[in-house]
Amino acid sequence: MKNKAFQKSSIRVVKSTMTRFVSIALISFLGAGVFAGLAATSPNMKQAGDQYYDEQNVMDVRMLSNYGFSNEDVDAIRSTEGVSGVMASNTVDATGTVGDKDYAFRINGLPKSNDPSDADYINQMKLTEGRWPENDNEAIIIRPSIGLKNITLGSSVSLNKESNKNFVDFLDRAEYTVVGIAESPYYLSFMQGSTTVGNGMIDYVLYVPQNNFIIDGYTDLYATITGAKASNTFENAYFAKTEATVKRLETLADQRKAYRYDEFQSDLSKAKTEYADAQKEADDKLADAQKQLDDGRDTLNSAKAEYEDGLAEYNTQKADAEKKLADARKKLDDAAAEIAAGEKELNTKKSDFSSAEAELKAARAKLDSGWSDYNSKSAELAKNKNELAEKKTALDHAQAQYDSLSQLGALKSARDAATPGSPQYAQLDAQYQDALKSAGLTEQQADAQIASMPAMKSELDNNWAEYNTAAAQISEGEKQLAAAKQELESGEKEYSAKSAELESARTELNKAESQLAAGKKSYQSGLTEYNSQKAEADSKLANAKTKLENAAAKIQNGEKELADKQKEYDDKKAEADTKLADAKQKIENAEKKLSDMGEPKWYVLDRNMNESFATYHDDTGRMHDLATVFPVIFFLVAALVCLTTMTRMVDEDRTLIGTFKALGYSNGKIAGRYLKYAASASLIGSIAGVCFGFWLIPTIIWNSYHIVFALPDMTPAFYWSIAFLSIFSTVFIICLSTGIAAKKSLVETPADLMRPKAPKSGKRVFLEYVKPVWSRLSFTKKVTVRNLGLNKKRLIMTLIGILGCTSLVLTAFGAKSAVGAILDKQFGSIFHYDASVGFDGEKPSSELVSRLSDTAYFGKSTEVLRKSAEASPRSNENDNYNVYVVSPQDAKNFTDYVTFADPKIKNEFNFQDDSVVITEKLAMNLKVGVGDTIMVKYLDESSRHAVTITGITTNYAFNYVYIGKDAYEKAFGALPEYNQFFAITAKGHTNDEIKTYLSSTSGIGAISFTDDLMGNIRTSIKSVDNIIWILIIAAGMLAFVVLYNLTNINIGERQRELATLKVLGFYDKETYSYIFRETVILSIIGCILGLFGGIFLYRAVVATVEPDMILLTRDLTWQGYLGAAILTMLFTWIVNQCMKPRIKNIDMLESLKSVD
Amino acid sequence: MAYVEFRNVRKVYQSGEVKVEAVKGVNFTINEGELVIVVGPSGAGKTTVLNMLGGMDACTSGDIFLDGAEISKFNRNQLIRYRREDVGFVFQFYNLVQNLTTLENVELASQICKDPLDAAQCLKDVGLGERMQNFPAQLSGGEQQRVAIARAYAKNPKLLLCDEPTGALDYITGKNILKLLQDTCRNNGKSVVIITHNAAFEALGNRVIRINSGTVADVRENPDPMDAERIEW
Repeated sequence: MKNKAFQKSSIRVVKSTMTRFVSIALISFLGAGVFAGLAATSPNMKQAGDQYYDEQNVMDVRMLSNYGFSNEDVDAIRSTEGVSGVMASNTVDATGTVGDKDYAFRINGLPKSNDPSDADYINQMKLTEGRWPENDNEAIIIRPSIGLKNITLGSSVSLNKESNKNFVDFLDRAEYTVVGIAESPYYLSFMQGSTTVGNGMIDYVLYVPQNNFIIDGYTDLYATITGAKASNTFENAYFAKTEATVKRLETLADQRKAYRYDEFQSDLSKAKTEYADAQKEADDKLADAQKQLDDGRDTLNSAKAEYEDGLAEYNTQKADAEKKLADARKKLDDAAAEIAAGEKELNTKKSDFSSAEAELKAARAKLDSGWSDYNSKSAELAKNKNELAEKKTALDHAQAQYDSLSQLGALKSARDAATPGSPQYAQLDAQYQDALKSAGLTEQQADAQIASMPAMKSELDNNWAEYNTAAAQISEGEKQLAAAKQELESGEKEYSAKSAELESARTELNKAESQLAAGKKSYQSGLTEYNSQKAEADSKLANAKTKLENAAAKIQNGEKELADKQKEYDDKKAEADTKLADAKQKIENAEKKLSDMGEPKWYVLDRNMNESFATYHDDTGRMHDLATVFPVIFFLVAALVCLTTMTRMVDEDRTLIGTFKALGYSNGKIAGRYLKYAASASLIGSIAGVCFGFWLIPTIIWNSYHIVFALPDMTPAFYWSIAFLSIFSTVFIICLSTGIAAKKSLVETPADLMRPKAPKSGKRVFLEYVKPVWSRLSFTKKVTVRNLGLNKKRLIMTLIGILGCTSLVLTAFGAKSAVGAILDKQFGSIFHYDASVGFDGEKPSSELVSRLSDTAYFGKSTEVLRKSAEASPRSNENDNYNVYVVSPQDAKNFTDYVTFADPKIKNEFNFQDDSVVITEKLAMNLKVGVGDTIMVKYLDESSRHAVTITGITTNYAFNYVYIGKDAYEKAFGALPEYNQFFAITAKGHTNDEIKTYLSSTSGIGAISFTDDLMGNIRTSIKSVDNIIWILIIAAGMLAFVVLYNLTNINIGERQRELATLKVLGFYDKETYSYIFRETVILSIIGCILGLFGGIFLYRAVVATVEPDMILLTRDLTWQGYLGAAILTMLFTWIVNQCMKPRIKNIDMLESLKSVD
Repeated sequence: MAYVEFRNVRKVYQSGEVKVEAVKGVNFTINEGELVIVVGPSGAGKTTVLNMLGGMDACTSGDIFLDGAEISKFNRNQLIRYRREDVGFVFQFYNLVQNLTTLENVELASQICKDPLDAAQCLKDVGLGERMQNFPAQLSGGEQQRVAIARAYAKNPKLLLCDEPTGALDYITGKNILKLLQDTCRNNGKSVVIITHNAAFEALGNRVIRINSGTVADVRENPDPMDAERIEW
């Protein structure tokens, strides 16, 4: 043990330079851990997947046939060499409703056995809740990774028979109750496959009892291959092992399908013969029945004729009798009427006579009273005449008196008018006095009388007027009296004439009365005679009628009998017809099927054709690719970190190396000291890293895959080959860089080494020549700038480390926002329709159209065709991608529902009837551009159609081929059969309300909302979050290791400088910045470079991990850049905080003591 | 009161179980403007004394005063400020910042204190007016030590502490440095403390403190110090 001291020194150096040792160990940990973890993920996933497949006895081969499989087929497959188990099943797709939601279901028949040890129980399900179905109306549902939404145990599923035209041929029951929830290895992925019903994507898979399938034979066969479980199904060895059996099955398929075809043909011809025979027999039988029927009808007809004759006779007799009776009756009635009229006339005459008599009597009385009246009036008139004469005498006297008085008055007034005392007056007075005297009056008396004259005069006038009136009355009365007398005399004459007339009328009346009495008597005797005749006729007729009625009843019975017979015949005929028609239809169907489907085809599909398997397989491949991209960064940084660290170490040990050399140790021995140092550090680090990486990374990735795949938990596994490779490459890289670092010192002579290395001289850097900038810098800043220029290796290491960190963080943020952008962009700016509303039949019902145009619920809607299809390049038909073919009825306004934009120049373009626009990702997958032709095939058809691309549009989720009407007709030879509406809903109603509003409409199909689709995608991309965390953590560790190392070396190298600064009285803060400023500047530069580098890393990662149906945007957001920059600087800050104590604890005295 | 006073200053280093008493109760005083030579054999504790005086190390017990301030009671930040404002150091191995030019090295010190002297003038004073833009690596040892003196002096400190300033220099250069320090003291009235193991330097000082095995063996005032040019060793 002569090297004991040397070894001791080697061990002690580890203790004394712990931080250095740790930083090498840490970078080894990181490099080896990331590599091992990422590399192990793919095999670990494959292993876990394979284990699950083996445990659940997943099929190795699935067989499909357009003619279905018979039990003989099943037996033939079972007896094929290499086949260990066979399970036959039926599958049909349909939309269905659970609660208020529509889904697309795949309905499978339950396997016969659910005993896991049964080799024929293939694709075994893991029942997680509930129980197996016991009744025909019960079902099991497969829980996809993203959950069952509103479906729970006890939910009832109501399938829509209209949604698949084959449904009724397959299943006789459409209502099921979910009694069990299971996981199925066959449906791992949340994407459970494409379908032709609903929106083109299967939402859920149901298993229902096989009894519900009414179809003959089976649609699907699953088989396992002996020995296949021994190989990992995700490796080529598996396919190599199964290949031979698959080949044999393919050969068998060729035989069976030919046989099956022949069988079909012969069955068909047999059926045709049988049909013809049956038809002949039916025809004969029917003819017999028809003859009997005809005979019966003849008999009946003659009976009917007889009856008719009898009836006619009866009717004639009856009519005669009735006529006679009617005549007699009429005569009687006439006579009665005459009598009645005579009576009436007589009565009238009688009343006339009595009224005339009364009139005559009244006339006599009137005449008598006229006479007495006349006499009394005449006496009164004579009396009045006498009175009048007396009155006249009195009047005459009064007049004379008045006249003399008026003479006296005239005198007086003449006298009074003359002037008293005048002669004239005297004369006049004398005259007046004379007159007075003659009158015998005194003057006073005269004055009084003259004064009463006017009264007198008026009285006189009145009396005169009275007198005149009375005189006129009397003369009138005389006249009247004379006229009345004359009238009375003529009335006397008339009265005597009428009296004579009345007497003659009385005589006549008596005569008429006696005549009437005679008439009445003869009518009475006529009536008696009529009544007896009528009674006789009635009884005769009643007899005849009874006879006739009996005959009629007989006929009726006969008719009924005949009708029964007819009905019986009709029924029989209808029955026979239906049977024959059915048979004929069947024959026709069979013929059509044969001609439509042409040659029978059998498909032998291996696991690669299972969507879940293929997706999972692709994902494991992606993980593998990812494992090759990232570790490169870490290894590169590890090498650089180690190189700088070891260079520093060798430099520090310069004198020691010289001493060892001087003592006679070989170069190899001395180099070994450093190699061992580095190797042990990296070995410890990488072993820890591998163990940690094997556990952590696959676990995190697996957990995130849980969201996309329904898989059991994974046990982290240890892979010796990966562990070895990862540890070996880490240690190798570390040792290589150590060797490079050591070599430089070892080639020097011991003498040179013993001399202290000339301190690296300060160098002027470019910036110093920029005076305005330089003169403004403080000394510590100047030192920083000069230091940066001093050690290029370290500069590059730090820059690459920080660059890697920033790129990783940027990639992480980019991935996150790209995934978010799928939702925002796809559903925010590309898809504008909110719902798709399917309809059954060729045309939507008018009710549906009118409901869709209800502006309270819908903004607008348009009719489209949307169907699942496969697209492939023209040259290679096996390079298939799932797409949706969408053909709008109204091309011009279709951009209201979907925006078309050129992915490169970003500008939007219109959609035309002759447009064929495919989505960007599809164009990338198919490697085609505008003007190229691709082939499109519907999933439920076999013919391929060539379409020539006229445009490519930006799209992030799923692949679409948009075909205008005209282009569609050109390619498919028929106009598109529209099957749904794209609708933009109006604000103010929830999706549930809209669905309720539509659900009762006739001919309505599945309704789905883009919101639900968004939800699905949102769930599936949550898986990205964990990967983002891995990236950020890895980036943080990377930054930490690199910066820690850089700072560590810097502090070590500048211990003296720092001590000097401390002695000079620099505060802690100033001392820190002396070191940290460099770190910060490098971080900033590295960060800026990293932001550019991140763009490339991100694109590389996206190109590696992007699934077929998703396009992740290649553009990064400013938030991503900002976040990456902030995180990088945060890591820098954290490292600086960690290093502060080291600087603070530098001992001024120790550092200043001596040079070494 | 004296400008600098050490009263019963002790310093014990402890590493693990072992206690080493480097300074065992030192007492001495220094007056302002004196050039003091602290002399003693290697390991006698003179550097420890200097470090405690310069605020780079704390004493275990006792009191240290400078210009009335009790340095031994200073906390960490006060000590930093004390070093920054009041003390200038000159080391055996110069301790220049390699990445800064001569002038910048001086400015490094002068720019952090309150009342500095002009950096360029200081360099001229030490005779390096021509080498101001050179990096330390481009200077000889003596030149580097001059820069160190200029750096310490430019702070305009109360006290200039020099730890074996000629230790790494040849005879002639060493003498020049001693001359420079003596001139600084004489011309500018700075108090200068020089630590050396070389007894020949005793003649230079106004005051000579002999330290032996962690104690002051002898303090002697020298009223007529010799010029630096004339001493020989």
